[in-house]
Amino acid sequence: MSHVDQIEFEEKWDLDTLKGMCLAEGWKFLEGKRTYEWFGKHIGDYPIPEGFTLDDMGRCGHVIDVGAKYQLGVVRKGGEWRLVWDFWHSGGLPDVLGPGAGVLKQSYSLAKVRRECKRRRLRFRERRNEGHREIEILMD
Amino acid sequence: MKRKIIVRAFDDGRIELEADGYKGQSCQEATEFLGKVLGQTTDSRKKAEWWLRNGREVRRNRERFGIETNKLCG
Repeated sequence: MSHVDQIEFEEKWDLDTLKGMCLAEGWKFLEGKRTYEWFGKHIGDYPIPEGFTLDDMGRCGHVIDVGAKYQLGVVRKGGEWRLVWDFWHSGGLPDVLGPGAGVLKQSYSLAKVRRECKRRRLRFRERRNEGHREIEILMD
Repeated sequence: MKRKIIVRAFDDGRIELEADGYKGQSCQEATEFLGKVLGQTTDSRKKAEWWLRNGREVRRNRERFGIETNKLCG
């Protein structure tokens, strides 16, 4: 007997969870690295992220390297951590992060669940399926 | 039946939580902690078994005691 809940992904990034995500996915969390790889200059074809200036581009507090040519910047803005990256295709990030960064959201959600399970000392197992990944938490 | 929660994270970023093996209100309560961790619940639907079980429950209570108990889960 059961029910199914749909959850909307919340863009609230936490450094420890990001580190856990990187570890699980085989990505690198480069702590304290102040610049991330991107095209190098803003050519004006897309608006810069809200709350950012041109000078902010390419600068960050930490870097996530997913093995592509370009990297993700972990940037502190307005008291929160935000992720920024250059989504130009030749930088390779769309291939790794998926459309709408779906794979990044997926990886981060799973990292959150793992972290919460460990905190609550709950046993769990993971499975990879076509189109989704799942964590089964054993509650008994 | 063993109680478990299954978290499905889809390639497009959607997340689904499924509680299995629960009875009564504990079903919703079981997934509450994960809902809080992951984001906002946008939809909650009960599986077919829920309706079968609770339909019987409601009918039984109506017949025996003349009361409606339709706030059961799982």
